[in-house]
Amino acid sequence: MGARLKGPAPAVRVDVGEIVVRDGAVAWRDATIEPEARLDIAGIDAGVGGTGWPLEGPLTTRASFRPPGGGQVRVAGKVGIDPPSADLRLTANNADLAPYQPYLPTAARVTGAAHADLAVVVPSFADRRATARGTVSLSALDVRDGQRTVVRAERATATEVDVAWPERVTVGRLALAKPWLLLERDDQGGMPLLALVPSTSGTAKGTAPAASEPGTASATAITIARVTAEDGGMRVVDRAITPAFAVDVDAARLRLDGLTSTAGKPARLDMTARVGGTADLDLRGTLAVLQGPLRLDLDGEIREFAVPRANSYLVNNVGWKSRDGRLSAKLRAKVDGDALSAKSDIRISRLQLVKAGPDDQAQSRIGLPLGTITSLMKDRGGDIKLSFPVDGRLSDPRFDFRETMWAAIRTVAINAITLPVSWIGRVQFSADLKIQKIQVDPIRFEPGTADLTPEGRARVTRLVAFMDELPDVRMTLRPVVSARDIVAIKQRIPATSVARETRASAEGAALPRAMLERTPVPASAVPDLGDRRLEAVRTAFKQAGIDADRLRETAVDERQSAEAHVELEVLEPEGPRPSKVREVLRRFGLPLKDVDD
Amino acid sequence: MIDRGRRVIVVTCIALALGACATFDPLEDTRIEAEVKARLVAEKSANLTRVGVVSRDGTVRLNGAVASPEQRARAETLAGGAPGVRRVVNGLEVTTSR
Repeated sequence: MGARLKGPAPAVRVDVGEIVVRDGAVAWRDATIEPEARLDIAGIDAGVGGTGWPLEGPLTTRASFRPPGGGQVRVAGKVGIDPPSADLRLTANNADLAPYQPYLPTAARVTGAAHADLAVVVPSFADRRATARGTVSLSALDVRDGQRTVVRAERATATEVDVAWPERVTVGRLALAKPWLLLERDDQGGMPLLALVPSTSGTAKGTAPAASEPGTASATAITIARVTAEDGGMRVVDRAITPAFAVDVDAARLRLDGLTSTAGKPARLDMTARVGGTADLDLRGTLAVLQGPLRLDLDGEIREFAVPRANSYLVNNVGWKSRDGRLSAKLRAKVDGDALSAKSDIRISRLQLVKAGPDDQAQSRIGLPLGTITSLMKDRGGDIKLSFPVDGRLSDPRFDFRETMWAAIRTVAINAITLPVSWIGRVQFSADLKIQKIQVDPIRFEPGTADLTPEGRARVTRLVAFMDELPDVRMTLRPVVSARDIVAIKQRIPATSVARETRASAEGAALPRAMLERTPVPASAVPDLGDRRLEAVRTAFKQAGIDADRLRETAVDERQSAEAHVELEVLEPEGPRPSKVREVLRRFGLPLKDVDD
Repeated sequence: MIDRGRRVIVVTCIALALGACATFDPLEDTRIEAEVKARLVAEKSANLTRVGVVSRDGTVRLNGAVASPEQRARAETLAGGAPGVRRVVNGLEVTTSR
């Protein structure tokens, strides 16, 4: 600083006390970029001291001006001459960002105001090195895709900024107030936000990116000691599916410590938010997003998410939709490069499903309708508890998240169903390992009676326990009257009455076999026996506290099989019942919009 | 004919007695909110991505701020066009700061 210009001392020396500019203006036009930049700086008040001849420096400089679009910028400090250098204090207040749009390497339209208080030192302009320390903030930041706001923040403030260009950019704290983001998948399946992310190519006409050039940002180590966000929000919209999915995330708070692009410890994340107005989301763990391969190690928890909000995905992926249900889940996910390892423990309460179309993916992939599967998975509190892992390599071309999820769901569902079903029967699988049928052991009776056999009593006990444990399961009961039942019924017919009809003798004696075979069974005997057996089962269930509405009875079946029994079959659960008012109005022909259509 | 007349009277009485209160499926509100938000977000010629949407019994309430009366009206039109919407209550404020 202050070094004299080389060469012999001039004979004449001129000292200028101060060069002053009042209310000056500069019009900057840059046609090398598209669109052309037009920056008009006005209200320039400047003073430069220490000038003269020969020009030695440093020059004492102070300036204030209105930057393009409004605001105020002040610069004060010293400017060296040999080598060209600067040591300045720069303050900016409400400097409009919009006029600099042509220089931004993105199609997004950025508006807002910049504020800064920085001490800037440029030791040598020739070396293209600089340091800057202080505070920078943006207010009313609004990033738009055309007309639409896609990113917004009331304020973003970076304090303890310490830049040593080009080696490092360090920020002590980056505080975001009311940040908001639109995360959208459009109707073509694209992510418009990604298209707005700055590319590495330059915007100047005919210029190529110079990524390998020394001193470019690619070599710059970026560290932000702490990022905080208060009262954040996000609107998530998926228009690639029909009906569209949309959910708002609000009241988000985030703290991210140790975000850095250098090798070392990953950043620590702690975040809470509200999803869909009711569900609480917690997310914590570590992540390395700026330093090479992606590394995540996150624990997340969501509580009481309204399942009907996800109906768009249920309808499209499963063919069912939820009329009610609350999902709570704990997720542990690790991503190391392309290796994904995740495990989730899910609890779904009060789930009510209705079919939303003919394509039941659960039926085709697992073997049972989703409604039946969920009814077999609900515990006595009406909750479904699932725990399933998802593992794979994200870069593996065979890795298909949808298929992976289905495989996990299938395994979990089959495991969850097989155990309780083993109390009452067995799950039968097809050759391709889908559930073919749930075989329920029949309830045996003594031939010709409604008296349970000892085995039948044991099965009723197990069935009661099963129904008690799985309160959504319903069953059909079909009484079967066998050939042995018929024989027993005939044997109880008094011989006299048979004799009258057959004109046989030997009153009161046992019927001979030939006569027994010829003896007709009274028409009411078979249905009566079926009814009594149903009644016996119904009574046993009722005494055990099982709601009779969960049992559907069917007509007696007469078979030649040797066993007297009542068959049981697990029923597909009924959908939620429509309101009685709707039923009445519909009965009277009042046209109502059918929401299930 | 008499049956038909009785039917009409009964239906009218029930409808009057119960009003429209109990016939709307709450599940519909969830779907409507998503549908309206998706429509607002999809609108390229206006800035409606941050409009608040709440549906109750098919009545959609819009809240927040937009930049012009035209955008306010556009939001109402888009919301009203979503299937299942019975009425739109437009609570949007027009502010020039947006």
